[in-house]
Amino acid sequence: MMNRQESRELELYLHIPFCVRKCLYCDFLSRPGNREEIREYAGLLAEEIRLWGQQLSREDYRVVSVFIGGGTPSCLAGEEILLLGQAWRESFVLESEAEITIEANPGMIDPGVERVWRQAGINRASLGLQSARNQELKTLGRIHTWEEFVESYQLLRRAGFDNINIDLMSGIPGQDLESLRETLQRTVELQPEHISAYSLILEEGTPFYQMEQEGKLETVSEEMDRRMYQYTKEYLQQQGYHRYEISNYARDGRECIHNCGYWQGREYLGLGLGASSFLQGYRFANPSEQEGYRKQLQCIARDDWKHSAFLSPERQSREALMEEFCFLGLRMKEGISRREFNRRFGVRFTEVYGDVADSLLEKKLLAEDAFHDRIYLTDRGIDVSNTVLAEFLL
Amino acid sequence: MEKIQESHIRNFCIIAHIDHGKSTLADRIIEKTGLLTSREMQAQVLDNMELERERGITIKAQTVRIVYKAKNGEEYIFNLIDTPGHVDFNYEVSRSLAACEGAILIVDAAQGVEAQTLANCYLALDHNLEIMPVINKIDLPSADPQRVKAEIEDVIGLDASDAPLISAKMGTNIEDVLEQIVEKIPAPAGDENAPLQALIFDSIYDAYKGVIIFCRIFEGSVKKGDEIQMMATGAKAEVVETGVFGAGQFIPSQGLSAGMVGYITASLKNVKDTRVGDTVTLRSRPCKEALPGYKQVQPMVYCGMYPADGAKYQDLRDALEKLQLNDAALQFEAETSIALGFGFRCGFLGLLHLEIIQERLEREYNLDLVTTAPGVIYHVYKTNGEMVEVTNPSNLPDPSEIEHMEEPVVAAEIMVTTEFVGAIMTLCQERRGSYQGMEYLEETRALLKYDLPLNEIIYDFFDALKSRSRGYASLDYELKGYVPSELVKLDILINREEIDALSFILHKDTAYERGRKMCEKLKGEIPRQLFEVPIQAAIGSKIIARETVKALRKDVLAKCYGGDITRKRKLLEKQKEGKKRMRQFGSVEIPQQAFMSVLKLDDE
Repeated sequence: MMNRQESRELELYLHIPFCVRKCLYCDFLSRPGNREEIREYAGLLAEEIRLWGQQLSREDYRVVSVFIGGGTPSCLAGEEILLLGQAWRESFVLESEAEITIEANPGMIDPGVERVWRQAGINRASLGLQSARNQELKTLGRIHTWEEFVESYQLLRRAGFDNINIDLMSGIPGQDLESLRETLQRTVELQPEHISAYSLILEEGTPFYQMEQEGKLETVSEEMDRRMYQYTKEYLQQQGYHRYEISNYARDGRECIHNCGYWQGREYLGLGLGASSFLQGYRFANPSEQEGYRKQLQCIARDDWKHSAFLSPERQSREALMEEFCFLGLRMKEGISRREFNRRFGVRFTEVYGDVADSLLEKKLLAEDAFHDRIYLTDRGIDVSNTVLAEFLL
Repeated sequence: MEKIQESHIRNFCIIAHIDHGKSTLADRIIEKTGLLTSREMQAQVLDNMELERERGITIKAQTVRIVYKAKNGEEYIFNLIDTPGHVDFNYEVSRSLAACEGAILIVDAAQGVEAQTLANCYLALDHNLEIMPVINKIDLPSADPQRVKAEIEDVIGLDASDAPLISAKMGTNIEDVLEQIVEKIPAPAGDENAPLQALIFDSIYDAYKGVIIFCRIFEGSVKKGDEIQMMATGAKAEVVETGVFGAGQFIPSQGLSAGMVGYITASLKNVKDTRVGDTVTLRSRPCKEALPGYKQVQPMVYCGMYPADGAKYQDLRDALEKLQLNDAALQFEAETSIALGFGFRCGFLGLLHLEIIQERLEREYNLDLVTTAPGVIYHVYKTNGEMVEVTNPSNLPDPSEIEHMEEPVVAAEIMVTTEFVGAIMTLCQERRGSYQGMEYLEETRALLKYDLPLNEIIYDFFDALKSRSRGYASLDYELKGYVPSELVKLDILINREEIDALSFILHKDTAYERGRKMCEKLKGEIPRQLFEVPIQAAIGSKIIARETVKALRKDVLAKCYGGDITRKRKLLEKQKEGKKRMRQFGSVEIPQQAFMSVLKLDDE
């Protein structure tokens, strides 16, 4: 188990569950909220940060990243952001180089607030663009245009944000390689430090899923989807963005620390409605409705978090941790290390996963760089990553 | 127990088409005779197997003895012998009938006479039973008792003028039925001093008592300590107990004598020794001859049954052995399949029997099974003059060694309303039926007679019959014999590998169509793999149909957001779970469901 003497890395995730309007493909926890609600929620969130600070005050954690996600965190007013920033700084030990990200919706940033973000210590921004074509944005149900996006981007640059991510999407109904090329080109011209490029996935419960079931959504074929993926990868690599995870690209040294944490098994604390945590071998999530969330706060104000009925923390078994080591680690381009596995679990990788790995290596879904002790997904393995990763469940 | 005069015994059964209310009437009779309070009644006392209740049919004959105080002030013993209600169990039905002097014929007041009604009626007449018609379901809005009475008289030729009009469900006019049983059904007339002659009409295995023989004493008597012998199987044993059937319980008696219906237990371990239809007699004083009509039941339908999990092979064997203790008609022997591993080739009386056994194995023994397509016994005449019986397509000799083959044919009677005659005749033609004639039973209904190859009706004939007649057609059949036929073996190749468990024997004219359908069906059942998978149907080396399962191109997880690993894990687990239900053939994974789905190629 982990060494108690050594200070431990921790990540904070703050969930802001409000959106002006839900996009047609979105299945995250969010809903419209009025000013009053948002203010009240920010108060609860700051309170929660402080309570956790107390809960963990005797453990030697240092926070390496904070990620304010949503929903739409940019709907928070300046003073609310300051309140949250104050809360995490006063409650946790922050590493000096800590990566602090806020997600922002293009066209939704009140002029001036971006400077407050800087004041609050936020040093990275993530903008959801998805496409440079307004028609495609409309299809997705986004509420901004390309032009509004550029305006927001420049606003952030001017405020001093030198680490910006842009989210893109491929496989948008009606999209073709040409329009994808245009989106990539226009995005790269803006010179962001990081680009996330995901395929559209139709999640149950979303309007898109419903439309697809009714045959009213013209999705791109699987072949086209994979061609788009390849195209994106090659295009971005040429432009100096290396792929470090299945769908994430960055300039050297600009990989997202926060996201890597999830894949490398780092501990993280999810704060806010419905947020998930992984702490001291336990996985748990906050209640996803307001009332339960409030009660959970009262609970950890009095009692140890491990006893909270609202979190019902579940200790991950050794097997589960082994599985996660593999199915999360393999999302990274560099993949997993046999030696690291042996060290972490005290059992040889070969003993647990020898057959699985051999068969996947033989099928060329995995590849191994024995010299550097890395096992990673091949291009084909990435295309069918679900199939590959499911093999690592014991 | 006080001595019962034979003149005060009535042995009878109830015959009816499925769903015409046999079990419900039996319940009412038991209720009205007052041996049970309403509260003690299970919903249907006679059908006590869970499965039977779900399917609304009787599988094993149940029997009950009741006491009825008639209007004349006398007490009568009624032995109600239940009969199985499906054509698969025709032989059992005939033995149950043979144990009676009379039969109550139930006819649905709305539906009227059906093929099974007719078939059972003729069977009862064959056994010289006094048939007492009863018209049930008079509470239905569509009931037309007068028309049905006329139909019984016209079609069957029975006097239905004073047939009780009842509703077994509502309990209406049940008294009339009870009185008529006393009046109309003859009392038994055996000699209790003659040598013992008892008919076995059922036997079950009980973990504590061993085999329990259900029998009707025709002559003589039997009591505890007697040495008995089965005349056909030759099994001998000493009687441990005799008794009669209470509702849902065994009531021991001093002995059983001529005219009575009851049970005998002896130190017998297997129902194979006490075959239905055999005659029980005393070793010390045997009767001159056995009761007529005994035959050893032979399975008509065979299929392979394999445990989904190979490690459960022994469990499957144990379960089959246990079921066989109670079901002499079930046969099985070990076999192996390249595709499915170790399992058993099992023989059944018919498809329903097969389905019942399969469900019991799954439900009562918690086994997950893969079943191969059911087939019949083919007679294969080889060029060297030898004849072999083939039930497993894999055992078919090389075509070069086959001189000719024969397949079993049944004589089928289908009763149908005239508007559907055309549709049903088309169906019979499609199934290679040979028309034998048609009788108009009345203006609106006809009895169609066809000779049909058994292998054409064991798949989905009954379903097709029902769907093409909107549920109005009914079917009865019996084995007629073997006829030469141009049969071929159809093989299914998945990714160019023959899957032996999917092979089957069929007529060459239907091979193309069925091969095409199977490929289509399999295409829908086999999930996309990492490479393209061809599915082919072949006769010998000739490919007659092909489908392709395209390669899986994309299978990716959605954005891993906000650290919700649990959700990703669930997705992967779902995927893994699906894989568990697959069987690996070479590099292809085939879900077990695929094997089952080709058993029922729907009649579009």
